[in-house]
Amino acid sequence: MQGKINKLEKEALSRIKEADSLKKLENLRILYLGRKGELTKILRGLSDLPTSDRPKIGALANKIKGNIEKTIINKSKNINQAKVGKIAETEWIDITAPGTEYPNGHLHPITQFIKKAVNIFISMGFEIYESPEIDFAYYNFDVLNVPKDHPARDVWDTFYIDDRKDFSDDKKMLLRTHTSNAQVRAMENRKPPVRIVVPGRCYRNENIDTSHEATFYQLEGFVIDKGIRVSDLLGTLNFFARRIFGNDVETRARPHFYPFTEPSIDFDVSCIFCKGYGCSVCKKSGWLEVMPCGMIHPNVLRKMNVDPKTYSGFAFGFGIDRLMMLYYGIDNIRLSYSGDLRFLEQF
Amino acid sequence: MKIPINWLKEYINIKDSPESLADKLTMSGTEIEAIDFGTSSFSGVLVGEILEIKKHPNADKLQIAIVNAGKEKLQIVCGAPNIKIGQKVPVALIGTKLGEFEIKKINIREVNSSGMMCSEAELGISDDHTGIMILDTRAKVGEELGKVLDSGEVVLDAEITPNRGDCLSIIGIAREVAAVNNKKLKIQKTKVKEINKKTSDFVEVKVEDKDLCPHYIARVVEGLKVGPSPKWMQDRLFACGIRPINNIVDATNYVMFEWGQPLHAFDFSKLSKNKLNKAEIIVRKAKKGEKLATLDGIERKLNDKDLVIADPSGSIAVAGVMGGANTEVDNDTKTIVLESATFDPTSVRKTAQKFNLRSEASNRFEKNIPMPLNEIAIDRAAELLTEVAGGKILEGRVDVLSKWIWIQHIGLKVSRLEEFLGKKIPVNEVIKILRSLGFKAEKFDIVKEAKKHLGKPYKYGANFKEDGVDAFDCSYLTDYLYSQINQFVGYTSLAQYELGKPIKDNNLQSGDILFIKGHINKSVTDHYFIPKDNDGYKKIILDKPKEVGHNGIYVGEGKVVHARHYQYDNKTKKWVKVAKEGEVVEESIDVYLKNPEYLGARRYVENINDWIAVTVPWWRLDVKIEEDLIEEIARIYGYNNFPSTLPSGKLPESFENKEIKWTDLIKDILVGAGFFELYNYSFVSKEILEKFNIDSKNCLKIANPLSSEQGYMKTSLVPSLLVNVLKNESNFESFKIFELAKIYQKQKELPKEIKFLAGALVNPNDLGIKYKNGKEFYSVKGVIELLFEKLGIVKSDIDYKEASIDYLHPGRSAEILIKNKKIGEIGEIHPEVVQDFGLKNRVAVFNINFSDLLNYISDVKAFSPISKYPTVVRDLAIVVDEKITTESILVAIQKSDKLIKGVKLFDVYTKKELKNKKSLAFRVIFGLDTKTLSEDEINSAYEKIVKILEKKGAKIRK
Repeated sequence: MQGKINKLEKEALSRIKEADSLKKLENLRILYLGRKGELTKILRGLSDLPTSDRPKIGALANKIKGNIEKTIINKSKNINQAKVGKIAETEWIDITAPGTEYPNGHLHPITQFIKKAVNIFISMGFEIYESPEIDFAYYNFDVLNVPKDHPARDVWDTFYIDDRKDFSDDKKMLLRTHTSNAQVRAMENRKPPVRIVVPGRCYRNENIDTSHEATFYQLEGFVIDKGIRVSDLLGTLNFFARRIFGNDVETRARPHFYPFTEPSIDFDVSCIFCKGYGCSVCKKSGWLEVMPCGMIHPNVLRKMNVDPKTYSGFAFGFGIDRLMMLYYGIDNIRLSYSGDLRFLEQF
Repeated sequence: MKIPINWLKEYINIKDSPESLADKLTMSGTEIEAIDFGTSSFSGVLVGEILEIKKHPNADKLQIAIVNAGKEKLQIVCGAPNIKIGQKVPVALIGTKLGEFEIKKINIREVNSSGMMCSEAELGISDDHTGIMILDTRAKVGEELGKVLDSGEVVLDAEITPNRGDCLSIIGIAREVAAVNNKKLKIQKTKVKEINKKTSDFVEVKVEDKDLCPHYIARVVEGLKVGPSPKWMQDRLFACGIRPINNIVDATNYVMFEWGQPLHAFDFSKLSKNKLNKAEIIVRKAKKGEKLATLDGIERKLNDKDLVIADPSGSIAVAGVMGGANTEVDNDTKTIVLESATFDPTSVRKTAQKFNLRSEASNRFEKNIPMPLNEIAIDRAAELLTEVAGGKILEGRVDVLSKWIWIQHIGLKVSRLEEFLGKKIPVNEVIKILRSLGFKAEKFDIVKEAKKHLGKPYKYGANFKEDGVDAFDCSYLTDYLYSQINQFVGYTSLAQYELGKPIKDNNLQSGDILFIKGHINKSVTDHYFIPKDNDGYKKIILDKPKEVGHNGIYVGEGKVVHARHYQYDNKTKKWVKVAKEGEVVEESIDVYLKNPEYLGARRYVENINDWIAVTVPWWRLDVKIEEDLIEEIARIYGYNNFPSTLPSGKLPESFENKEIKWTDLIKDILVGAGFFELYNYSFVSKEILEKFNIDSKNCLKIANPLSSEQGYMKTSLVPSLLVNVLKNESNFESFKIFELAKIYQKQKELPKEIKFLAGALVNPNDLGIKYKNGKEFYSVKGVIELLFEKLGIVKSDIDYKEASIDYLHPGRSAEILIKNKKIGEIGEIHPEVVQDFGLKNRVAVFNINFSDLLNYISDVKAFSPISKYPTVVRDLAIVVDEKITTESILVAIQKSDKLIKGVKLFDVYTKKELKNKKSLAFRVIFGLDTKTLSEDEINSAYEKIVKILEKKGAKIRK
């Protein structure tokens, strides 16, 4: 019996050694170790042996079973390895060839920039509001403390709509020169506290060149509550500037004049190109003027039906196009409205 | 405004470098845009003298000049009309670079030209390109231009904001420098040496329109000798950007730059005289049809809105805009009438705009001239005329003042300052800043103020205009005290009693006002006035008359100060006149508290010790309210010394802007599908409108368009998309574009602004079914289907209806309906339109009313459980008549049996051999949520489909 088992082992090991595929190996496993396999038969036949022989033969058969199993596993590893080594050759592809094409659309860079800016303000609890592009002079100027025939109106070159000569001046229609026309409109059905941003298209009757467009986008924002301070304005804009330009951006606030704010400020950031050393973009000043702003003038608050004795507020507004151009280093503002896909595909 | 620093130094010590001065001014609100160091080099540009001028043989508008440039004589061809023999001109030699432009030897219409005579614009000196720059005849031929022109004067170029008319002057800027450096101004007193002849004997001024000319001053200066002004004056005027003319005009201009007051000089001999042989100056509105030739030689047609200066024979100047040629100062002028006035800013602005005559003078009048300046400036001009033109000044000014010179008081609440700024600035610092700007400012002490007036006489009905601070009645005293912090308390005792907050007698603080009935006889008892927000008064009528006849102000320590005329006689219980005429006295509070007619106490300001009383200097017409003062303090203190904080306080109501949310989502979907978003102008040309059969009458027209290309507001996004396609089809073979923008529909009031979502595509290369015909159409349809699915619009609510739309292909277009309402259209562009636009490719578009679409979008998503049982897929191909719609077959399959879980078209095949038929292949999914289907069940459902389709005439392909 013992000899039979040893012979079986020898035969099995040699056949395993010769096997050259996983399939053959599997067949050998079934042949020897399967439910009806040779070795299995021997182990089942142990009960027919004399009691004295059983432990010895049993132990031997189990040992050989383990040995065969181990050999099969090792052999299958070898076969696998050999095979994988071959597919590197047989299934080789040129991985430098380009990937297959997917639809590849692009958002307009102004859309992207508005989203970026608006999201920063949303994170500070602002609400988005939209106001009409064609509006009465009343909302664009009069309520903003820019009376008719005031020299301050000269600052805005305005497009007017032709067919309303019969209307009084404040009902004259124009293409809004800024998104500030939203200020009083938004407050017609709101009460403080409010935090509002207004993105939108504006128009100025300016001669077009590489840095001036008659069509442009603005982002207006304003906050009204009890106890709103100048320092809140500065903090809000500093937060915004850091989010857009990074934490190492420097900012400064310069006094200026706007009829609808008092005090009025121009908010500058350090030139993002020369880091403040002075270059052609910042006209050697080291600063980029990015945002007119200020505390909302009491006359404007009154037009919003907000009592300036109880409430205060700040407002700011900036040109999206210019900021976007700075951000991406675009040197010609007209590209934005050119519809040229060679421009758009870069964003 | 140009600011020569040396001139500035006459009024203020400056140790700063020009750069540091510029920085300080910029950071305090006077933005310095450029520093001109006066050393611009014009290398290669020499002074030349024109020796000879000939006509160009081959060009009418060109001349040939022979110019002596020192070392050589040059032949130069020139197009400028203003050259004359003998003039000195700047000549750029060959090889010289002017900006990017290099002068080369050239041949202009067969004549050689060696060099260029330059205009000021070409040299970068000014914007003037009307002709060649003519130099002083004393300039040396052959000298470098820089040596002739460069002054070495450092000049700051400042942007003055429209509110700061006072800074349109060197002294105004000096005041700013004084404030930022906290230094004192040194302005020398004007010395006017008058001769023994009275101005009023020579000139009379009649102001007919007092609203448009609140203040007019005239002086007469005689014995003048007209000639060039001294070099120092010429240099400064030149540095300020204007050309010297003669000593008289230069002196008036000098004062304009120095003080900001535009002046005008009339030749006395040219003014018509009245019977008394006096020149008569009349300030009035022009008569309809009146004409005046102005100094520039142009005849101006005036109308009754223009303000003019006239003499009895007619107008002699357009007020504040330009003088008349008829009274112009010339070389023979000996005596002049000088004018220094304030005109209504709006009137000047309108007239100047109408004539397109915006000048240094009109610009200043438009910003409003403070009336006290009229006097200062005219005296200064007279002084200068003595100095530079030998003038003798007649005695006195003829001065017509028609309006109250307002002195603005403002109360600044210290606690509010900190609340408003977010930064505590010490009171001393605040006062120091205000004073450095010329404001009067001190901590308000109402007790001290009240006691200042003790002993002053009582006058019933006293007021500021007539009495100043020389006499008071009871309510004027209290009104005046509170006016120092610009707090309106009421003009009469009754008003003050009504407007104050009642205060208990045991709770009095200084500044509270106590009332007694007093001597009533003339006092009004039933009404009072309060000022309105914008000018004028509002009358407040009481329900019941109240007798409030007297009051006094509590000054602490049991004392009251009041302007008193009557005294209460305790015995007779009557009011009797005090022995004297009456005066401001301090008495025990018992005079009120223990009087049987005592009415109570009132308070107007919560914390009377919280105030700084500020008086605005006359030149700061822009400072009117507390916020204006706060700005003054903040800008000099420096915003960069402020902390950064974020708004705190209550959470605002939060609104999610759905429209923005959907906009973002839609754009993302389209971009995901390979579309480029682009932006077009809102404007459209008439030509494009016509190509699209849109009547321009229905479009909003721009009154002042930049060009005819941009004359109208869009009513559709599609035309500009086609222009986009045209532009891009030469660079890209296949592309998809979209725009989400507004269109503008004319209506009665404001136009309707409707957002549209429109897109176009060329040569789509999509996944899925390969349509042989109309792939463009199916591509836009596909993206709309994708979009609607993502927007939660239920498929069964959507219909595509064949439609005829002008600009679309009649066989390849459809209206899109949601719940039977038209929401837009898709289709291929009509071949004729394609041709009109000159497009190479077939183009398909979608055009959807985004505002309407919003009504159907939903982000509600309901989960339905995933079936536990497997589904089975079978494909089915049929050949069917071409005109049978795919939709009807899909519906038929879907409805054939409840086992059909879904059906999808996956192939379409049309070929000649099929004749008028098409082959369609469908993938049908069978399944039930309750069990696994057996082979038999699937087979029988499949057979059902086959039968139904065969009934429709379809042949099943095996």
